[in-house]
Amino acid sequence: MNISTLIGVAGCFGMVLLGIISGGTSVMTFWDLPSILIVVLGSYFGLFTFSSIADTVGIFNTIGLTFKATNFNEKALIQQLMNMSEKARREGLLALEEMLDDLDDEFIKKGLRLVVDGTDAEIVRNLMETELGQMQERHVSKIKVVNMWGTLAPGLGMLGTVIGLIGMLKNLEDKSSLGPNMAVALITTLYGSMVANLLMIPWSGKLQIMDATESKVKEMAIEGVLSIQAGDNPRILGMKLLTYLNPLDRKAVEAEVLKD
Amino acid sequence: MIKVTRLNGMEYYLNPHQIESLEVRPDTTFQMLSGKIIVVKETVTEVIDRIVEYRRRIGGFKNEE
Repeated sequence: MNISTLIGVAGCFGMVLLGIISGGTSVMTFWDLPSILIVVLGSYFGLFTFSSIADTVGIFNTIGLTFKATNFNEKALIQQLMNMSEKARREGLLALEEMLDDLDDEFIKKGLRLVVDGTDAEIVRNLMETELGQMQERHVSKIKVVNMWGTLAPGLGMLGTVIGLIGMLKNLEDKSSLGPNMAVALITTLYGSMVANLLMIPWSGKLQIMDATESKVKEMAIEGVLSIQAGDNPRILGMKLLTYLNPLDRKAVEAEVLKD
Repeated sequence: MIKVTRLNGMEYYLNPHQIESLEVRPDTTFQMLSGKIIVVKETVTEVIDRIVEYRRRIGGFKNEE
């Protein structure tokens, strides 16, 4: 469970509610089903126009990812690659073959399999980088849909407000209903802005950061696999991979990995 | 050209004039002038014997420029 997303979403709504309550208005004033239909569902269906059915239906899985704890465990990855590098230098590249089955990371497995088969370093790099690129593209296309929802919602909010105002202007004779009708008309704008600013924009930012982190880990793996193939010294490999970590983590991992 | 065997068992012929260095780590590893790295199954002594044999076959030292 990703605590920070939870705190963020709950905190955003909490503060808005707190603001409403402390302003002395009842929360139910802000509840309006027709507005929900126009803004939330209306903009959601806009996504079908924007993207594919699969991506639009899958947007909830994408959003769900932001609530999942993501730990790529860079430390274990560095340790693992260094162990392999040591083994390769002690017993030769072919000795890595028996270690491949214990690996749970498909990406590294694929790379090392190529290395053991004696593939050119250039080709190994190419294949792994292509796979990384494809992963990034998949992520970008999913993030785009979340972004789009955040873009459409305020627009639909505007639209709902205009609908409400038109309805109100039709019945200008009834002066007593002017205020309440106007209020209901503005609720859609509120919902639109809420969907965008409290949910979609933060979520899409989170997803972009997750994509960047995962890409970094994959880059570390590529660097590691190629380093093993080139027969680099395990310590050098460790140092190379440590540069990918931020200084704080680096210190902690360094003490553990390069202790000898 | 000398014959070597890649780790996946493929025969491979390389030009000994293009070898920069040989390393044992512990597989025999060629560092070529082009920067390419080639790992082979043969031991270093085998490789060197083949290079010597090849040079003997082509004879002339005029190729050494």
